Amino acid sequence: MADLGTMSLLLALALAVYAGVGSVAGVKLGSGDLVMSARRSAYMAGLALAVAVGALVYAFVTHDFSIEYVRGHSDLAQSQAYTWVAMYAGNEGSLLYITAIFTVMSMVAIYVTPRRLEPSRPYIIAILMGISVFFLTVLLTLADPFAPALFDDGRAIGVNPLLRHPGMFIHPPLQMAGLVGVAIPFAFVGGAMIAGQTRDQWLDAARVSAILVWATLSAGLLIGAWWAYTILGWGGYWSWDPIENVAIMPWLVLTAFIHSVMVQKRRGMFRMWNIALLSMAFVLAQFGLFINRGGPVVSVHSFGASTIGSVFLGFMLFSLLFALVIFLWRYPMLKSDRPLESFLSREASFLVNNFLFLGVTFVTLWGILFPLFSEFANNETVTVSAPWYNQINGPILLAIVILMGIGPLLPWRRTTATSARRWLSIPVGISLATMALLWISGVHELWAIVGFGALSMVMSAVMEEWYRGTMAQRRAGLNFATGWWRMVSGNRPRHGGYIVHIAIIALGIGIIGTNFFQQRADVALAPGESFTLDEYRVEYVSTENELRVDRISEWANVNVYKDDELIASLAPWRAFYPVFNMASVRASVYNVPLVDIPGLPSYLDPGLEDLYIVPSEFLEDGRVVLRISINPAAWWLWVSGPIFIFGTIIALWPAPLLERRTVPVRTRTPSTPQTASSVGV
Amino acid sequence: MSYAVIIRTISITALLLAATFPLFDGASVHAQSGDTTDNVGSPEITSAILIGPDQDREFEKRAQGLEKQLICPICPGETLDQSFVQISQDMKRILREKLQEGQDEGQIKDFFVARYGTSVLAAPPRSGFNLMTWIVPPIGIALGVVGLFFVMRQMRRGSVNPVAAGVGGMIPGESVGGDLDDYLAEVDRDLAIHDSPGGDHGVDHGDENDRSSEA
Repeated sequence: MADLGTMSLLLALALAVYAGVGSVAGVKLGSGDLVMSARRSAYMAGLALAVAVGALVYAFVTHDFSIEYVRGHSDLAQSQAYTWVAMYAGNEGSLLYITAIFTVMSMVAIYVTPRRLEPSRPYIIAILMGISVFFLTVLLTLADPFAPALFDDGRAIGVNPLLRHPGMFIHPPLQMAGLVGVAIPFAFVGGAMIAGQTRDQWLDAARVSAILVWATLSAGLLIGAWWAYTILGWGGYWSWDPIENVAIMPWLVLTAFIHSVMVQKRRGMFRMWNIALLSMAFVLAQFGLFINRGGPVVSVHSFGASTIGSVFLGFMLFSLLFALVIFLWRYPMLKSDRPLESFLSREASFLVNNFLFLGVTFVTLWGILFPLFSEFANNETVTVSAPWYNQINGPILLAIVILMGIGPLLPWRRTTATSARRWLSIPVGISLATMALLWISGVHELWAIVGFGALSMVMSAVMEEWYRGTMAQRRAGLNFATGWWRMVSGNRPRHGGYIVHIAIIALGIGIIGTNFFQQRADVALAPGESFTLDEYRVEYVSTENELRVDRISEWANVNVYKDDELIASLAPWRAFYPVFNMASVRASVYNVPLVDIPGLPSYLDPGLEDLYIVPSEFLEDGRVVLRISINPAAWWLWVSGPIFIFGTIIALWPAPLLERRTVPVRTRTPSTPQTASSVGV
Repeated sequence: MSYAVIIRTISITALLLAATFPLFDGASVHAQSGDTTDNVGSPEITSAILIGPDQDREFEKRAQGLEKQLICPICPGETLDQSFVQISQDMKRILREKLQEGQDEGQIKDFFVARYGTSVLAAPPRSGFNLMTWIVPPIGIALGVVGLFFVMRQMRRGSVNPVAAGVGGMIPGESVGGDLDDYLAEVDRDLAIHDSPGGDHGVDHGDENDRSSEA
């Protein structure tokens, strides 16, 4: 298997080099055949990498400990399911995964490149394959996943206990795919720039691929948060750790992009700006890979120091240079089609949105870099951690939410003060009412009140539009549901976006709830004893344990009472892994329902608060140390995921032609891609 | 329609994954009884950090607030409340003792800084060199706001792109032919009906939007 793997990697490298060089050479030499064969060899590179991944997975599943990487990240004791995914548990394997997923994504991107980007396609292939070649070279020289074992005594080390979690099946693949995938929209733009297609020919390809990558990153981040919540045992889900930060920065910039690209799509403006955003996202993603692979920043979840770091740093700097050169080269050709007409318009609100997202990105980057800076310039080690980020980024994020309630209500081009007032009065009114209501009902955390007020404004803005839109459809004789659906179908990008906004509201409720109103206690209880936190009485009943080859697991059986009525029996556990000298906990999370829907399991009921219990220590005298916390509104964090996916799908769903009633109007607009190619090039 | 096929495939896969995800939860590990009575924790760890049922909630709230501002010295990046290792348990105990003695947050932080260095603070102090952490973002944002204002003003004046204006350069606007302008105006009027808020039901406020686009 090791040989098959190494050979596939070598083959993939050769094919990728040929694809990249061949497609550009083919264009220069005017040889269509060469271009075509180069493109096909890019597809073959993807297949070769799929074979390499298959070889490594096979080695894991069959416990082939003659491969060092398998020996180091698998053992016979761990459950079989995890051997299928253990391949990305370490540096080399995850790099192979990244290379493979990136090349396969490139394969798809090259295949579906729209016809009007045809002249750019060879350059798109060259950029994508250039990145693949870089990864493959690193794999073959510095991080060979198929290297033979240093010694083979039939024993293996096993996978890090913290990775043994269902999140492992889905978080790392999504997160890594999202991070490397940022290169794909960038490649579309970069290729188009090189080929001189500097109008909007690249727009749809870049927009769709950016949204897909962005959705992948979002899902990866959210599932990562959920994983941290259940396994790290401290009751949180996001700690502004450097690795989390480098994953969120490209996400933030892509979020800015998928908003402002709509201005380009509808109005032919912000062209240069959008290219700059994609370049930034791409470079930040490279920065993320660099920090991940043994960068200079300490983090709980990086792969430990390795020499690979500097190689990735070099590649990041090269990417930056490449993006800059292309940008400056095509700079004179990227003007907007028309001026901004008013500060009070949707265009302007998108510009402010972009500014705020970049603001958060800038703050986050500064937070990552300052400790390094301090170490070099001031010779002092400092930590920049959650309290700092919360204080600096918190207000900017709040401003983004407030803008989310205003921006969508402003029309394109310009608006009059009276019409803005008419549209905004309801959301602002509802927001003020919410804040007043919260104050009266005894919530006195100022920032939380303002936050909830802003969220209610966003919600009422969406509802206001939907209500009016649906009512208009109702006058045409449709009922509420079909009327709503007809309205949504009429402008999928916008209404899909609104659904995503609703997901963000859910997320915001969860973030505010858990950050401002969490209650927590660490208590030692003997069997039979109980502790009351808020209105919940937690009774420790007994401990059960189990000895396995690789770990000692202990469960704490606890009963939870509310008003002397048993509401849940929970069994959080803690496992100790002697080989790693490391413990892993699994919290029991009981979602206390806000509304108890009969027949549904409790985790599906809309949640009021999470009761979160984790055994942090089992003491010699039979007592157990429990961390008990009440995390208000935590359920809303996770429900945002499905809503978010639904919204993204609506925004991207290829509408049947008959429903595109704006098409006849749009195709006549010079700013849209269809005619842009004929006007602009 | 390969794009359509791919989007649909991805969408359906995503929906299926989202729908079945709760099933993945490995918490389905069942409790089984065993004979081992091995206990892993070292007993002295937890002696004093615990809050008893009788302890004051307000006091505990202050202590927990402090826990979030201090970093465990051996587990980079983790604040005390996130960490369960020996040293952070000790630190949690010490900070509670000091709080009980009536020391304020500043004194307690100073005590830990003297012991472990500045990096024990979760956020750098607001003084000296470290003041930069705190003032660079607001200054950057303020400069950004000023820049944004000028960019937007430039963009209003003519066919200028934001980035060009951002670096102070301005590209002379290319004026479009008169015919095209008329045509564009007409298209824009058409578009305005669809594009205004609630544009999908433009019938409602078509009048208002028309007015704004003609101005």
